[in-house]
Amino acid sequence: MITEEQEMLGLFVQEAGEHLETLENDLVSLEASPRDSALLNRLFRAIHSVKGTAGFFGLTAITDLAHVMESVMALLRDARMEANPALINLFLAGTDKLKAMVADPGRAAEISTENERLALHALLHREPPVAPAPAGEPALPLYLSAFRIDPELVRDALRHGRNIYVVQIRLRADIEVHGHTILDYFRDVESLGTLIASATDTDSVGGLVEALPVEVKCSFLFSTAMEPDLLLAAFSLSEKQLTQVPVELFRTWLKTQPKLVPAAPARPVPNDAVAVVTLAPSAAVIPAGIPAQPAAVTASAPPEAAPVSASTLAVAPRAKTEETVRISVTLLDGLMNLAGEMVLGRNQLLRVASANRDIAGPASSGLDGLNAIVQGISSVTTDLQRTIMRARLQPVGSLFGKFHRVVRDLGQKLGKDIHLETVGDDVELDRTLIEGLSDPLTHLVRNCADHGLEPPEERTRAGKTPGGRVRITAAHLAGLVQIEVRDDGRGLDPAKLKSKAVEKGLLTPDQAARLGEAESWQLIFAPGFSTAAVVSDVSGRGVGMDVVKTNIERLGGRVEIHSVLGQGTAVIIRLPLTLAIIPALVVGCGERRFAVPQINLLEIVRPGPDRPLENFGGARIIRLREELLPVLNLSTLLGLPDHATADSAGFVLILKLDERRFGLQVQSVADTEEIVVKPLGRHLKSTPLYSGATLLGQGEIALILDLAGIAAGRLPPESSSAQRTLTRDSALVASERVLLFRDGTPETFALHIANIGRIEKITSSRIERIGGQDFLRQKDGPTLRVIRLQTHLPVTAAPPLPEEIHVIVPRLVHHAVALVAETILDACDLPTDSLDTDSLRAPGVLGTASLQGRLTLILDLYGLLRTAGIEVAVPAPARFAKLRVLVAEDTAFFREAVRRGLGDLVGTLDIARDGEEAWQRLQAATYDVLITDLEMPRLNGFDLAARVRADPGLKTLPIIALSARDNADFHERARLAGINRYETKLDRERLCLALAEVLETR
Amino acid sequence: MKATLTASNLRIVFDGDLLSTNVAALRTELLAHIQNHPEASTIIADLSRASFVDSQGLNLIIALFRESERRKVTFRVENPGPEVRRLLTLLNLNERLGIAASSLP
Repeated sequence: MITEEQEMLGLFVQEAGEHLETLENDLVSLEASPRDSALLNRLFRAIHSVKGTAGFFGLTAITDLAHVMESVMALLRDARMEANPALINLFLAGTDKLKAMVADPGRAAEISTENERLALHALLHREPPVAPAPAGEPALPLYLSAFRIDPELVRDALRHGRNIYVVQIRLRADIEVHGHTILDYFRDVESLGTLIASATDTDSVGGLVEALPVEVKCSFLFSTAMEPDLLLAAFSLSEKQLTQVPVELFRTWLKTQPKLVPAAPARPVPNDAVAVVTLAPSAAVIPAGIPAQPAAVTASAPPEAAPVSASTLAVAPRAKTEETVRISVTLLDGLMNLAGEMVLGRNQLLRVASANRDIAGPASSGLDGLNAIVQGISSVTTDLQRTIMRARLQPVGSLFGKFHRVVRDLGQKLGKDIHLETVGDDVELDRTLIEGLSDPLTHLVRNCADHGLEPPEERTRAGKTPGGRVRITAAHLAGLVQIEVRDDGRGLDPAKLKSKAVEKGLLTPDQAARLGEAESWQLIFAPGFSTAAVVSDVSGRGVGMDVVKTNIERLGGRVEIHSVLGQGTAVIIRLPLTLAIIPALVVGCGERRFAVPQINLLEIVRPGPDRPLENFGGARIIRLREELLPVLNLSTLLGLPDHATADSAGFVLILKLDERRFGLQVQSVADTEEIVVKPLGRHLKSTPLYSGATLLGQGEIALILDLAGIAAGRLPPESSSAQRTLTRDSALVASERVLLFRDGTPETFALHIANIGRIEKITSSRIERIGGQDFLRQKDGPTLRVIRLQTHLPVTAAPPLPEEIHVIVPRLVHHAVALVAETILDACDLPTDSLDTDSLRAPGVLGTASLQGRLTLILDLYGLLRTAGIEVAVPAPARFAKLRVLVAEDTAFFREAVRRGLGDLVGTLDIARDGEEAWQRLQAATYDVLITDLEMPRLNGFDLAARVRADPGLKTLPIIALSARDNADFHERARLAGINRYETKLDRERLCLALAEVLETR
Repeated sequence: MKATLTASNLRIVFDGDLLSTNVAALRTELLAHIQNHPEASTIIADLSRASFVDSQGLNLIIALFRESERRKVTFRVENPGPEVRRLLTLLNLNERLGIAASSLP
């Protein structure tokens, strides 16, 4: 059982810890502004509080160190000593010791603080004795000279431990522009403290001859218990407008002021605000309409004498201060749960009310009142839930604050001058997210300091300031919070990243060469990847960015990276506001409902005859825009009666998990809902398929699917993490995906998936032989001419077909044909330049490649059709024969496909291996048309086109883009780069049409 | 606005509130009255009919006070309503604008 003392000690640990956090952050700030009185006062108070409470518990080890720190701090505060980096170091060292002691008060005495104490004592003894202020001389500084100060009000403020401030305001800009009157403003001021004196600047106003100034400037001296930051917020002031007056100043000054005789009736008052307080008992002098002062004062007046009317009371002081209380997280979570329960109750109530209304019919006037009450409860419940949600939010500033120390220490250690700037400290996030962000952000900041920012001499050579900058920004962005960590350092060098990846075996040199700039940045997220030349204790230990990414994704967020070589790097994190309430898609399997986090959902597709689920290597897949995605069936996974066995039934949710994409087949899709995440009960915690539970609007319970758990071990094996990262944005991988199959012979064939329209399983008896050719009739389409590879290619003769076979119906050929594929083996990547075009030369075969350990024949579909006697009509005008065509294509497969497709049709066909080579060829020879791939190493198609358009001699050259990607963004970029036509790869007919068309319009 | 000269006291009675919307016109009028009565040794701004003065109105009063200083004539505000009086007091302008206790309503 926890005793009261233990409980109080726990509170001390928490409170002192917070004071020490403040102390640490403020010490770092003090280095930049050593004379900032507000800062010095805050520092003094923080250390004083730690000392005081530690003394209460008899923690002398803490008290001793805090005491000497406080004494030195007092010298700083009273301007008898100035802070310097050495002193700040000393204070920070002391703070670290205090932190360690406070964290474990029972063992505080075991921590040695002798060094810190001795060093601080030495400073105390070096400090010269202070000369007392000469008697009779005004001890107040110039900035207070404008005020006529009542010493009694100051004495009173000091006696109650209040702070005294000078506030400077502009009557129009600070008050009226915000829709307040000046009197309202001062009423608020007086509700927060005591107005001691005020002064208005009349000197800046000329006479009547001159134009009137827009502003009236005024300043006032004000005492309050509020801390500066609260006051700034309460008055909406900038820091420049608020000056805290050191209380010591007034203490000294008060010694020269005569004490007031208690009953002085005619004491001169600086203003009415004070006059009202002092003169309250006398009804005669209170002007009607002057607002009453605090209740304690007016209450002291006899009731019959009180001149305060009801209307005056209405404008009595309004408490504007927002008081705060500490609340335990457990309690908060408990409230959140209760609110969830209440939502459930509310929903049931709504349902019952609605049912009763339906039964009783419209004539039941008695139910109208009940319905209104139910609606009221409903709206209050929603508000309650939202309010509790907000209580869990904390400003990210509490997290950002610690980085000042981190950056300062790193700067010293690394010999770099680093300036840290934080923006958006008041942006709020769920406390769970703030806790989870701490480690990733620390990694990022350390990376900026160590890897990102150059040493001063290197920066100077690069024409930069010797000091580097790191900026952490938080902002709200479309319902998310975006946090950016940006430095102005050397930026990421794609060449270095690639060579490092090759060195570490994460990529082959060939893969590295194909990587674009943005893709190469992603390499830093690969496990074990580090660009630091020297492994230091700061960073460069080969762990970090992958952990950052994993942690952020665990929080439901995403990480992006942008970099400009020589200018800096920015890492952008996007996070949901809270993990307690998330947007989710509610789906169903039978009667059961499940919630799928919206952040993982890319799209929903409906399988059907045009987009069936297919079987590949024992796994179900769906083809989505040239990509084959594995599909899992939710009913099967959960062992529920299968409601979605048919391939065309239900819906397939396309989900994204890390870098993987997969489909999840469900029976129904209900709606999207903001769901309240509730933890799972103990009995369900061991199930990896669910991450929590929630109550839906109808009061039903839905389990939240844990997609990572669902995918684990159920998706086809992935390539290495680095390669996964690479494939994400690379359509090249999709564009080189081939389907492996056999036709009853030992040879393995591969057909590019872009050439595959669909795959059907049929019984071989459906194939009819007519006039020496095979045909397959379809119910809803033209009869297909069936082609057996063994008949047309130089391969082993096959035995008769078994009962069940597959047929592949190609696309992009505009002919009704089907290839027999007795066995579908797998789909796999065709590695770049793995195509061997020399070993086996035959019509219908592009070449060979070793895939999955088998020598595979890569099919040339057009060639195959020609061999089969199907002449694909290509609109090739006679003048194509004189055409000089340059093709830029980095992939061997497509180079060969283009060579086969166009080689016979055009006069000259030159093929460059990338944009840069194409550019060189354009300089050396004359061409009639340029056909270019878009994504290529060295120089991509967009940039090649832009270069051509900027060249006076080439600017009219027709350009056709060939890409495997068919998205609006690429189309738009191509158009902007000056590309005339955009065509899909492997569609020979459309390419020929495009060629004819661009030549026509030339 | 009405201006009357009695025994070298120029009393200017404002017709209503002194607001950003009317200070420009009031300034022109004020200047005309002062220039028409160079013999005045005291200028009195009578605010009995002004129940509200905003920051621009305040500027006008201060400008009138400064104009009087420049012409070396005495200036005072008389009969301010409670709100206006409180405003001038809060801003510590009451003494400078010569608001005497007798001017309390």
